[in-house]
Amino acid sequence: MTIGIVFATLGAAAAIVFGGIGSIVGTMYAAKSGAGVVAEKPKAFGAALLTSALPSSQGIYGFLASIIILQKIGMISGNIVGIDLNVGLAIAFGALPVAFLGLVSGVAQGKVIQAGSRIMANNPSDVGKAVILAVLVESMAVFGLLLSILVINSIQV
Amino acid sequence: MAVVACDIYKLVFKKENALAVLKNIALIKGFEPIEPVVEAHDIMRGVDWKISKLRSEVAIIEKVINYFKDKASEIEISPSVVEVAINNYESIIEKIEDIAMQIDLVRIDESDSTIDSDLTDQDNEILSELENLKLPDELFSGELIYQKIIRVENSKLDFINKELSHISQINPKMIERGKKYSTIMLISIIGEAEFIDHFLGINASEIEVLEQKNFSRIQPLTVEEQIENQKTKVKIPAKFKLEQVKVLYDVLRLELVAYENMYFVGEYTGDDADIRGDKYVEITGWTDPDILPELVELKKSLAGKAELVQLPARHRSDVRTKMKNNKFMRPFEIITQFMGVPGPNELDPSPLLSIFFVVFFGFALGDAGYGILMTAVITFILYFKRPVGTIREALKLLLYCSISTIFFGALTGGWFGINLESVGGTLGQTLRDFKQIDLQSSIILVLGMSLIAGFSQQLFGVFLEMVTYFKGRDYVGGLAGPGTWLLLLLTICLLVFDRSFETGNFLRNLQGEIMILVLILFAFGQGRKQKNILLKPLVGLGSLFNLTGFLSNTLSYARLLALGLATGVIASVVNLIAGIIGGTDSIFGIIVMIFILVIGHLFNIALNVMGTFVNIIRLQLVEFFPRFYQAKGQALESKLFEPQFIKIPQNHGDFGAIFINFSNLFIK
Repeated sequence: MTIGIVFATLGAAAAIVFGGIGSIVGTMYAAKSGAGVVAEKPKAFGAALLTSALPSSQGIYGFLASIIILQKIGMISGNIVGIDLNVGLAIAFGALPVAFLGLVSGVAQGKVIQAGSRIMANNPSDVGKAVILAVLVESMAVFGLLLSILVINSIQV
Repeated sequence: MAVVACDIYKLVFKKENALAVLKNIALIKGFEPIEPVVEAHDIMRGVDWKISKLRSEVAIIEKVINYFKDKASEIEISPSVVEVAINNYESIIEKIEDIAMQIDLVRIDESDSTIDSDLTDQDNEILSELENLKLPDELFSGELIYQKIIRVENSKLDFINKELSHISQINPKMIERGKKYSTIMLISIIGEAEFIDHFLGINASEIEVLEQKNFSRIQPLTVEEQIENQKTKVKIPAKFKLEQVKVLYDVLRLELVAYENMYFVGEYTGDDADIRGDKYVEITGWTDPDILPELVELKKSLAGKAELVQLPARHRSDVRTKMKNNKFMRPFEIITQFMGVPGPNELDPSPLLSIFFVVFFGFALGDAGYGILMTAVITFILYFKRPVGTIREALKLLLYCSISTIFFGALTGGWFGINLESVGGTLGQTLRDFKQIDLQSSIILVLGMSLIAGFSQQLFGVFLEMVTYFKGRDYVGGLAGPGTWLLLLLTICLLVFDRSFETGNFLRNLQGEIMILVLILFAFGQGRKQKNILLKPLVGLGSLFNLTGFLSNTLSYARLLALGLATGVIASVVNLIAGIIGGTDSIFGIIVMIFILVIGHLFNIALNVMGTFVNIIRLQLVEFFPRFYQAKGQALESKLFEPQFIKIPQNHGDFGAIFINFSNLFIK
């Protein structure tokens, strides 16, 4: 196993770990406020469930980027390719956009949903408005994923 | 596939029929009362008290029914069944209150850990003495012993002993013989205590009773035994059955809903001179067109000059709407309702998202084994347990998704995470033949498929936006707005397709010209609202920035691949763990392996069905709906009575008549 593989694997790990942390923290904020709303208005459970699930995207994006990296270096098929340090570092850096943007946007999205839960508390049927505001924050994580996929895909191993 | 707008109807009736009308309205699903224009003060007299009384009685009955943990049952009601419950109302309530008190006692006992036997130490000493008295065997067969200690003058002792010798049920025992008086204990079993009492009554002049006790000759009861004894006392009296209590419970709840709806009854505000005055009142409400015949029937059954009048409603901003789909599409209304019901001029997205939802779910869960398992369980529940309402619709939705999961699972070779290469025989070959895509080795291909699926739904969303314009008769707006977007996106698709697959030279030679033409149309279409002709194309071209929105939304569909991979990977990890831990030849190893497989796969199903469901709903609500759907409608909220035990006959007219007839027999 080459040192390049180590860095590439580090990149895969960073994508899922940071994206996952963003999702966990964001979901925590969202679910806590959602639980408060449901306690007052049990019929708002559907809306609370939906908003609580929104920050899970960042973890999914990170997971996706990780899988693409692992497939690139042959870890999924079991045929690990030999890559040098530069390639490994390039893959690792390629994972950083989705990792860090996922982390920050996940947390921020959770906070936006926390604020948006007031909309749901007033009228659960207005959940769409809360969702739209929260999704704005996610855009950058999506672009981070796009950039990561483009970078990782363009690297020849 | 339609959005039905409700109308406003006003029902005018005699005051004396108010309760009957309100009971019927409480049974009609599809009537939402509106605040009255002028409150009917005299009809409201005493209503608060009755509501409070009914709530208290309903709560007591609920406590008793819950105590007996009787399962919900559908009792067929008829006028006679209801009549029995109503006629015995006072006595049933009285007995129910007694039972509720006993239940409270049991609960107090259960919560009181300090409870103990009521026998004192002295009593226990006497009990031990009793044990030593060598009483006849039959006396010990009874659980309780009745005992009286008497004092007799020694001069009369012989007479008393002689008398007692004739009464075999009484066992006298000398406790103490003094100089002048003797103390004797008279003992019998509790069932024959009357012999002692009778004997003492006859010889009251000669005997002085010192003490009386009931004793258990066995050890004092434990706390649990005492509670159990208390519980056995809590019984529904034989004179009426629990079934009657249940009928009364539902009848009282109906009564309660009717009284609560009394706040919506107002003074008559119409112009009809014949019924103007203080004898008529009215109730107004949003009415589902489907239940109009029931309201008409109700009006016909009312005495006096009842009226049913339609009021203008379409101009209002709070028009109540409902979705109306066939039985196959109805389950998808659940997803639409997450966002809210459509307005009267909006499209109902339920059938429009149906195909996407089912396909995406199957693609994202992607395990045929899980799909078969889910299909079997859901089918069993649907056909044997027969759930109703939203639960039934949700299960049907899950059934569609499960069938789709079987299809996509078979295509991607997902069978409980098993590596198909390791499955031998005809079965293995058949499963391998079905498999068309290997998820793990074709990740980029599947990612592309996910994005194409997402882009297709986005395009469909733009198309539906155009249809919404057309529905509002804004044809120019539809063509210039979403129409030009559709043209632009389709052109990009066509050119990309042509570039990728080299379909011919025609498009290739003209792609520049086509793109310029489309962009000009797009620019003028999007900038059409600008008054300055020079600004129109500039503003229109500025709209191209919104392409990032399309891009971002489409990329979001990459989650389909991620979810599909997650299910397969977790399933294979479960198999791996089961193989490592339980993969021995011993029976214990096989049991452990089966245990891990069952628990692991059930956990995976629960986790991924939940995750997939929520994420696919999100794709509909966040990425698909905003193009064309704003959920401008308001759902109809009937002030409805929902029976827990009684079964309402399909023939509402008959049922209505029951309550109309009995309305005046009820609580005074």
